[in-house]
Amino acid sequence: MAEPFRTDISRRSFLKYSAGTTAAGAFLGIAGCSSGTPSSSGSNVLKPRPDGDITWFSYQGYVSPKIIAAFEKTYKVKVNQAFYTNVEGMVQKVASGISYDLITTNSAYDKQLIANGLLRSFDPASIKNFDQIIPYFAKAPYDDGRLRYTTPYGYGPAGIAYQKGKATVTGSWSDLWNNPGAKGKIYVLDQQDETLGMSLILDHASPNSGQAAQVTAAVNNLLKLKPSLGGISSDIPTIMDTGEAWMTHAWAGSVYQALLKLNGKNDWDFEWPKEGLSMGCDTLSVGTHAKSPGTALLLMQYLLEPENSHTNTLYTGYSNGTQQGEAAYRELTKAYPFLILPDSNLNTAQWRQAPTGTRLTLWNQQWSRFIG
Amino acid sequence: MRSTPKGEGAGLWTALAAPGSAALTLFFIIPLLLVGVFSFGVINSLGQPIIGHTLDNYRAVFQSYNLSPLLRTMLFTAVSTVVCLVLGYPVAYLAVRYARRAGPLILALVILPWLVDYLVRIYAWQSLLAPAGLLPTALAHLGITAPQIVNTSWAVICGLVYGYLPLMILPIYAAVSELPAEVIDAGKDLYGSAPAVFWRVTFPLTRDGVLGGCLLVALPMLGDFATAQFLGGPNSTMIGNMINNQFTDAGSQTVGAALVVALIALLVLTLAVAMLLARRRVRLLAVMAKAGKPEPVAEPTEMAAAL
Repeated sequence: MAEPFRTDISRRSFLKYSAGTTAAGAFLGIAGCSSGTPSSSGSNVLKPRPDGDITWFSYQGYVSPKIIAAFEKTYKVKVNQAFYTNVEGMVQKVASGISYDLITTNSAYDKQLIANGLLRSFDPASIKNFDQIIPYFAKAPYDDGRLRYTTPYGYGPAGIAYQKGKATVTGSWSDLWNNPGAKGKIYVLDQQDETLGMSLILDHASPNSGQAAQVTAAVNNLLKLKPSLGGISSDIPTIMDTGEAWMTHAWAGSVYQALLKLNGKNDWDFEWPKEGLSMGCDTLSVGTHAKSPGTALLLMQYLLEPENSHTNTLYTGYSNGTQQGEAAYRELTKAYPFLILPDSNLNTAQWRQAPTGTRLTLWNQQWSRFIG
Repeated sequence: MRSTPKGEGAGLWTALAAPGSAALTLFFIIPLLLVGVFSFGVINSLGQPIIGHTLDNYRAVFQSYNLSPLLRTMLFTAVSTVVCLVLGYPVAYLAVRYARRAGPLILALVILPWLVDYLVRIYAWQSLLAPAGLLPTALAHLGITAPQIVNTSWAVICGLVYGYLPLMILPIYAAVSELPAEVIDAGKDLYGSAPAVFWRVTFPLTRDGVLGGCLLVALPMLGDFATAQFLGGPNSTMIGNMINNQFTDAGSQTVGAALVVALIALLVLTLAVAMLLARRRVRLLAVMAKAGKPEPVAEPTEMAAAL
């Protein structure tokens, strides 16, 4: 449900097909299992040191192979990579007790993972490059507030991408509703936390609202938009490249990927709506069931090194919340300055929280009403 | 059916069947039962299903927002199955009756695309039909403005037909292969017109293949979600998409499980109807056999009456 990382959105969408099967497999494999996590995990504070080979559970294409090769060579350990295609699948597998050392987790789910004892705590002071993290992400409302379980890595909130001359914009989420000339060419993301969150923000409500009246009103608004929609899709590069979309709710990182693919074709622009944004970011964590937690933390530290941060941002096209990562992202998007999130938008963005309990039921019912 | 005398390799066959049966039980029956069990379950804070005894998931299934995708799925399936039949029957018939040695080649060409992953093929359709795709671009060069195809229900139906057509052709091919040419010739000898011979002789005698093909095509179509996901628009959501959403995005696997159970019930119902139709056919064959006509072939006198 939360924003996934994507370097090649078409491939990701392609993989999404199998995600149903994967999720069903996870459902069958782990259903009913308790997390079985030691409650004392927090008491055993980790230090970054090589203590064996590791498995990193992450998105495919999340890290430059050069960085991994250099890490393996430097510390004489092997980094095995296991992949997932959506955040829910990651949570399910981690919760099932599978032994992953380093995990690319997500800010929207970190609280649940920590509360269920699925992540190992560590001392931020023991990580050399923690000072590389920019202040906004250092606040870490999704962690326990002191970055003891996670470090931010990879983000790119959603705004509106549009073709100049084919859609008119006013810097508001309502632009999606107010472009009758683009009827059938408007898209919204197929992820309920993003799209429902966007509609809630437009209504000046929290993107994590659990109030039935607010969520119902937000979906009613989306239903009004539906006749104008060409589709509900997260495959931004494809819909931009094929000409299916003239205006789309989109992640900046995906738009960057699409613009590279388009190579100047069509005149695309991007706006960060004034009503605000919902925010989510990938985070790096060490699993409670890690066999080599020291190496996992060491790799986390290695990824935060300025040079590696820079290299990986250039490789993925997503900023990663570090100073060098931000600099690399600015360098990368020099030709597309509109993709750089202004500080004012960043500071007012609201962190997404994965729905649970009655909110989960409410959101499910309402989202089904929209897509059904 | 011939009964197998005791000791005639029964033990060997049982032993040989054991691994397959065990695998089927382990990887199909038990997971299916788990899906049934968790359809009454609840979700914990990590989105994991936990055994329970609530009917809330089934209440969610029978909401109006699931009804539209369900009815749409049934409509898409019905239309696509009919189109598959209309397109597939002539191909199978041609391959058997007129293609001679080229028959297997035609079959191979039908099956060939199946060697490519389904998703790749659907992506190809997307590239073909999209506004900047091959077809609209080619038409534009000819001065023709192509209508919007992708993101419509028509695109989904086209995708379903394309995806499942071979499953229609193969059983019909088998049925037509078993049809003695003499029967058709007899019909013609009795001055039956070509359409009359087809409708009174050929089609009834290949009905089992048609029924099998329709089942093979319709059942997976009812659960398909990739076609609508890639080729459909916001108003082409199928029930498979709703299920997929529960498992991959909505984080409510118990509702997804209840939807799966409901879909299986629908499939079983479809299958039951098909079996009822087949039983009627079997009864007809039994009557014919009792009358001393072991082959399901109409007698010339009956055919003459029919024609």
